Amino acid sequence: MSDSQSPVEVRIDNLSLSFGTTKVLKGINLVIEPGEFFSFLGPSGSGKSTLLRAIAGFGPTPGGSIRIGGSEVTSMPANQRNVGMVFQSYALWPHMSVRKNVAFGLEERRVPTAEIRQRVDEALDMVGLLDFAKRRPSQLSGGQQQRVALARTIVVRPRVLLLDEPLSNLDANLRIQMRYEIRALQRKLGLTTIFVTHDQEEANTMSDRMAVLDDGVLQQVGPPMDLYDNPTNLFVAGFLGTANVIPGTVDGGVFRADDGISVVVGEVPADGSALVFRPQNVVLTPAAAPAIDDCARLDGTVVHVEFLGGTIRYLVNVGSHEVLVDEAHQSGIAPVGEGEAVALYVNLAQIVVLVK
Amino acid sequence: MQSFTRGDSKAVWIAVALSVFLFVFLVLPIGKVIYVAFQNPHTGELTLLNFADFFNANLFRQSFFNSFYVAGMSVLLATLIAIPLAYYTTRFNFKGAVLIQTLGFVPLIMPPFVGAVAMVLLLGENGSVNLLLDEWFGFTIPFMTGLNGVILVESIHYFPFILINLSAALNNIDRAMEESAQNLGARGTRLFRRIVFPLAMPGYVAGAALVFIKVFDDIGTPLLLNINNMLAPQAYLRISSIGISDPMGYVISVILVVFSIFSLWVSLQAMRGKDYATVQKGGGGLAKRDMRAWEKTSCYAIIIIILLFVLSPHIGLTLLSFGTVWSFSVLPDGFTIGHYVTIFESASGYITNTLLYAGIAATADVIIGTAIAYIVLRTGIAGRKWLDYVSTGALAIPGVVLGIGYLRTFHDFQVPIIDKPLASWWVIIAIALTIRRLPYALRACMAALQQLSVALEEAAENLGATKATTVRRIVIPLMSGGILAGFITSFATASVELSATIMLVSQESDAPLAAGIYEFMQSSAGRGPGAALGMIAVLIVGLGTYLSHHVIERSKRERESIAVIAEEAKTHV
Repeated sequence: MSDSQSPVEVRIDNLSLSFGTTKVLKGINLVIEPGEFFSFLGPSGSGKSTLLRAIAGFGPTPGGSIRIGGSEVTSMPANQRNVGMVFQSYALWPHMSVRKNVAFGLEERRVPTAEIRQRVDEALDMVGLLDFAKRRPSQLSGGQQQRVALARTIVVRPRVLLLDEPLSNLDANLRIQMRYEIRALQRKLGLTTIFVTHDQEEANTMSDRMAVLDDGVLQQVGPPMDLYDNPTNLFVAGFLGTANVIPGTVDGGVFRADDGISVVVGEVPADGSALVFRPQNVVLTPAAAPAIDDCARLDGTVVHVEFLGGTIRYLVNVGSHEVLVDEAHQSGIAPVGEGEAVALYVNLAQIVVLVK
Repeated sequence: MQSFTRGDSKAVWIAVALSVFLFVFLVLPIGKVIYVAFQNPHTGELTLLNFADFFNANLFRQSFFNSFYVAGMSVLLATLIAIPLAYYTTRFNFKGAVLIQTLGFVPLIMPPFVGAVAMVLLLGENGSVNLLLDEWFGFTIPFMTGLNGVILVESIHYFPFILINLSAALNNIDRAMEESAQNLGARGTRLFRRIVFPLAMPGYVAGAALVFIKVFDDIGTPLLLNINNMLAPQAYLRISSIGISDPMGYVISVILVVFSIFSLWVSLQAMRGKDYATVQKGGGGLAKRDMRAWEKTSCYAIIIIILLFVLSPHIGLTLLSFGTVWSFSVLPDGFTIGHYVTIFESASGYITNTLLYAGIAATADVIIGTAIAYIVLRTGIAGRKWLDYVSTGALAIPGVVLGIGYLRTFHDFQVPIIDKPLASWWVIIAIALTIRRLPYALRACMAALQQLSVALEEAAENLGATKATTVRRIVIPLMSGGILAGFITSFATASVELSATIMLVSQESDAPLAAGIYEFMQSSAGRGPGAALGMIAVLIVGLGTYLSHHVIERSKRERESIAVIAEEAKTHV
């Protein structure tokens, strides 16, 4: 793959798509940078696979526009787009050998036989399956089939690599190993890559940036850690991990929860509608302990304590709200007991104020 | 999976061509038959007069009654044969299950009319069995007398339809269904009546409706047994003796079509929503138990009696094909291979015609079947489902009706160059066979394509292949097992089709095997060669059935590993 082209950008403008009367994508705007490893993350039915398939040219023709490397492809037939897609089921052709499978795209491009041979060897070597060229797909393990599917896609030097939940059919250990392999391969090829998954851990570990989708709408785009730390809405906050949410309103620079408690959180926008903070960012102290600087304080009562192994999870009643607190478990130290009054401190920098 | 909307233009043209073909050779001829049945033969205006004439004529009323009686009794007798067999295999650990499977298969490889004459020689008034009975016990049994003959021949040929459906239904009942009823206090006949019987009923009704219509439409068996006063034979006789302008043939055709549609409807209704595939994970058929000694004895006795009846056409046909003279004697006077020599010397035309017609029909069927399956399952062309509905609708059209429709529609259509009417050109026989076998080939192709994951095609397009290339390199190779099985089944059954061809053979030299057998069997001198031809027909169908079974099993095995992956993919979504 020595002469790979320079990576391209994928630009999606106001893309919408319906199956019959059901709107599946509702006005998506997105730019995926050249060479970026980008994930579409969302629950099933969020439209993430539909969006990927629209980029590949499958499914109904969408409204809006998709441009790859600056050229308009929205209504271009799938076979002319030169975007490589790895299918969830791998879609290896069972009647062809591994070599035949990998050679298919090159044959369609009328590449000379000698070159096909060489490039197929190169691609199979890259995924470590050169010795398996003569096998049928059914004679390979799931992980090997996955690698063949990858080789078959990259051998044609696509402009963009699309991966549709490629790891979901592998067992847990192999899944983690393939994450690294796919990421390494992508870095080596420098390909703009879009990865669809419903698994936030996969998206977090692999992506440069990711987009969270729900109900056909793009919820938020950014690097994984940014999205985790600074979610802009409740869906993103909740989908990327456990979050404490306290709804309320801002009144004269003070956040007032819907049950009447006011929380001093420093400067807040006037249209703030909820406080969001992660359980592990909460410090739990006895009610009488000295205050901690730069923190918002919440008073409550421990109602439930769960030992999760490395963590102790407290359920604390604060006003009419329930707040989760995760504390690292120190061997030999007993957790605070149920029924005890406690003060909760959250660093102001770790509180996200959601706006309406 | 949603339909594609890109690159359908070629498929649209193919769909249009298929629609034209189906319209000209299926919808139009049948429409014509129905129209003529309601048309005054002299003035041309629409009328119910023909139907009034039909029901006023003694012969037709009797034919109507006889057809009903024969079809109904055949269902009853077939049920009596099938029930013990289904019961033994599903309720007991029974070593003779292989015997029963053979029983369910052997009758299907011989069309009923082929064995009919041979059965007269074995079981008729002066046949082997009655000669022996008379000699030993001084009485005879009228197995083959009058309508009894038709009923016996039809039921031993068609009982497998009931057996297969009933066994499948019984096998699909989860043991837990029965056990939970027992747990709640039901047992014995009450358990059977309230749980097992209702659960198995849809399968039985579906099978029984098929048997009814097969018998109702059959033309060859009654004709060869010299029973003319039934509907289907009357339709043939009216048209062939009086001519295509006689309205009675059309009236009978309409009645046959109505009953066919009705039976298919009953069969579909029976299965709809009641597809009691109740077997859960870890379950599996009804509880089986070992047989007691006396049960085993009576079981084998019943199976052997049924086996003898089921094999009687085959035994009779074999004897007849090798026998010299066979009349008023238990066995033929002597044995010879002369009949086979005769047919290879003088009647090989029948065989080559059959290979030609059935070959054309089967090839056309799988091509059309594949095209329709692809259009229906893989494109978004408006109205595409109608291709499926209309092709499948051919199931409801008895062969004799299609034949009459072709005669009426194409008798004044001169084929250019050949310079004779399309209705009397041999090609029309091949077309009739194509239409008749299309529903079966189509189902095979549909099933094959349905098992293919769309992702396999998308992967090809993603790598740059056009729709046409994808079909050629991915779809057709992966469907090949189903296509081949469809071809073989179409070929084998088309080679022994009599009902449509008998109407359309306009000259001796165009006649296929089935028509040849029919011709030979008419005269007592021709029975030997006729039986020899019949043996060849059985050979073709038997071999075809075996091959298609083999092909289906093999492609099923090949697909399994891939199917597992696809299955896993589904469960993760």
